Amino acid sequence: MIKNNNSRIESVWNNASIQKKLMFSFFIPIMLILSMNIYIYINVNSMIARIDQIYVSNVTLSELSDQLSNVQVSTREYLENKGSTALAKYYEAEQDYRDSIQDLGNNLTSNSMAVMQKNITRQSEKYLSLINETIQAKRGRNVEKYRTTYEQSEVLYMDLQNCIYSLNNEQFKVNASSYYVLLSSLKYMETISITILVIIGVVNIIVIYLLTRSMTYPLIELSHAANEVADGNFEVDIAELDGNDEISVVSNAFSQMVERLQLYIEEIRDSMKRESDLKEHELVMESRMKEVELRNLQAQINPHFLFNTLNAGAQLAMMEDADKTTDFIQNMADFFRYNLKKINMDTSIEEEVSLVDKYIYILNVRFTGEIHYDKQVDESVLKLRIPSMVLQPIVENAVNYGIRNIDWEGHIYLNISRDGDMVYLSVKDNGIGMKQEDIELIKNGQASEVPKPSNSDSNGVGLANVIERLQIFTGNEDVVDIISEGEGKGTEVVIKIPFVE
Amino acid sequence: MKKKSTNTSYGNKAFRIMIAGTIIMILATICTVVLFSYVMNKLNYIETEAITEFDGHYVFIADHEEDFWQQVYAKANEQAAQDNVYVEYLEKSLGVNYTNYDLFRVAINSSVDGIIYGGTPDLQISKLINKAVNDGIGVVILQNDAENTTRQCFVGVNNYELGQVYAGQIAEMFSGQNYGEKKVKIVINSNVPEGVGNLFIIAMEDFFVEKYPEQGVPEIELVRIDMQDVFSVEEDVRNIILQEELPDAMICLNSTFTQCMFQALVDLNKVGETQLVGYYVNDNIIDAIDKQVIYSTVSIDTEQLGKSSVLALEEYCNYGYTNSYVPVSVSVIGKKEARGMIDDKE
Repeated sequence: MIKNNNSRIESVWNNASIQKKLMFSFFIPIMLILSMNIYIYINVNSMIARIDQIYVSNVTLSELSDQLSNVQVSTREYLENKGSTALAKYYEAEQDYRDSIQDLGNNLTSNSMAVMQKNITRQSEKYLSLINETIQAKRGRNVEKYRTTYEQSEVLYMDLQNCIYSLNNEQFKVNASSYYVLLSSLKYMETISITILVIIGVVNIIVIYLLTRSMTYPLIELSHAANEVADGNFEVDIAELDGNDEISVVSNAFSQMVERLQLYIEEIRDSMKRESDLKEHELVMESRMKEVELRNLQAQINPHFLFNTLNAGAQLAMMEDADKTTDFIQNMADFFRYNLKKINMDTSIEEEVSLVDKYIYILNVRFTGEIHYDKQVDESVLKLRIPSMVLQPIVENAVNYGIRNIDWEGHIYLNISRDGDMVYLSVKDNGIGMKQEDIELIKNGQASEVPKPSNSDSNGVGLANVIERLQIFTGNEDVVDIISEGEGKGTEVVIKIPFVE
Repeated sequence: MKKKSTNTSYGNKAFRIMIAGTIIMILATICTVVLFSYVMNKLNYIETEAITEFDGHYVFIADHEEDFWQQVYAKANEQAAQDNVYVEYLEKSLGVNYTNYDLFRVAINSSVDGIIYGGTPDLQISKLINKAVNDGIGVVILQNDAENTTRQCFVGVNNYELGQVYAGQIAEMFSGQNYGEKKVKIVINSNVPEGVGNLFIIAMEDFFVEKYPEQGVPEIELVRIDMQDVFSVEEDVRNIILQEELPDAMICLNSTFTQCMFQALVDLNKVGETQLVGYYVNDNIIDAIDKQVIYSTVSIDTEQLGKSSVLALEEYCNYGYTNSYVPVSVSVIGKKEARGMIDDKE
């Protein structure tokens, strides 16, 4: 039950705002010190009041003595001159004294001073009675009587003065001892008050120090974390604070902010990585192109010289009316020009097909029509853009590795078709076919490891290069299928390109 | 980003510090309140000491300088307290130097219920005794009776009897010797009536005549010392020793004389030159008897004296009459008794 209450108070404390916490923290000590001071003040005051009261009794007794003297003096005055003023004075003095005597008390107690008071009261009654008799005798002009009674009253007067003096003395002794007791008590209380106030003050300072430190500690931690974040280190420790005060809110919000910042930074980093990958691809592409170009340059030392020469040959053949030679040289010139011109840019399927046509023509002239070439083209895709020098290297491979050294009649089939969103460019031969391992090597970009025939006269653009460029162009890994059912059963290379309007 | 597990320590720590500090401060406050209350209560207790209300008021008049009378007063007060009566030692409570006569007058004018008088009743005092009785105040006389007054009661030893007791001590002291050759001085208060002194001498002489008719009667002389002046008593006692031929024995009839006399004998190296018989018992006197500086002392039972006086007054106050004489027993303390008393104490 107590534990529940404690945890409830604790949760109330944790959820309180800093202002409330500080208010509460300062309010209790201040109230305690204030109430302590008030308490001490009241007690010390009451003690001082008591000290003030101590000697009041002595003052009262001195007054009583004076009043008694007044009675005696006024009586004597009246006896001497019998004046009404003296009589009035006597009555006044007598009344004052009587009143004071009544206040003095007539109790018989174990207190010796009370006994003395009682004696004074009793003697005073007799004294006043004697004085009264004296006054009456004076009025009645009974000289003998008032002389006697006055003499008696004088004796009583002296006794009374002595008794009052003795009582006053006794009272003073008691009062003095009370005074010292009160004074020492006052000093004792002073010591207690100072000690307690010092204790409360010190505890108060310690509590406030610890409290403010415990409150500012998360802020200090937060500022360190903020400095670290400002220096770019997002891997900071930020304690998640329980409670709903401002520090907790700020700390937790900062923690979330750092977390989100980190997420954003990671996203930006990813996108930058992607961009750099893309750039890297482009660079690779460019480098492949450069590679093709270089090979072309190696193969065709001076293409312009070659084209001009071939054009000169074509014109010569035309002048000699050798049409076949003209066509042949013209095709040759077109083939090489295309090679040089298109290598670093994309082109249409139509142009690629045209290049293949020219290439087959050239080969058939070289090899006297050994290659039987058939094509089936879906004309709707002819305008589709694809990387240049794609089909010709595949056809070249089909000729060089497929049907060059076969005993039977060699066929090359070019089939371009569309199936939905995909366009398929198929180059198939009926040559010697490929081993499955070689197919895998080529698809994995290791075409160089595939053994080449000794009499290869490639124009320089290998199948691996083609596959790589197609992959970069389409952004798709699976762009080329190589299908061969085994030795002597030919090979089909199928390029898969998404159709774009 | 690393994240610590949920941290509640900050809030809890502050909360605990707050609670601990508050508890300490509250405890300190409670301590203060308790200590202050203790001091205030103690003061209140001092200020309001138990006060008993009394039904009656007696006044005790006797020389308060004498141990003897102080003991009598203490016993009288003890007895009176049982009957809820307050006995006031008037000379003590008055700060002025009043004679017994003055004190008696004050007591009468204070309309007390009774007066116990332990002084010598001279003529003036006898008048006051009569006046007091006339005013309805009971008067009990101790030690020295005022036979010619209307006092209600006399409590004490008959002076004749006391003289015989002292004579017995002298006889014992000079046992087997011729008493007729011995000189004895009796030191008494100058205000003791002449008749009382003479009665004392007659009682002693009668003792020797009756008990030792063949050994003669010592020469007995009264030496009167005025006790009004407190400081002169010791000087007067010393003068007796220095100026006059020392008697064979000296009898002191009150405690002050006894103590002054033996001290003077010691100081003046006269121990053994005269024998001293004292009056009253206290540690000094007992010690002196044990050392035989004092031969013996006569002690009147102070308890009996004090209590009997109060009882007589109460009887008078309650019933209007009381015994006119209440005797008090007398005891003699010699070396043997003194030794016994010292041994008992040890």
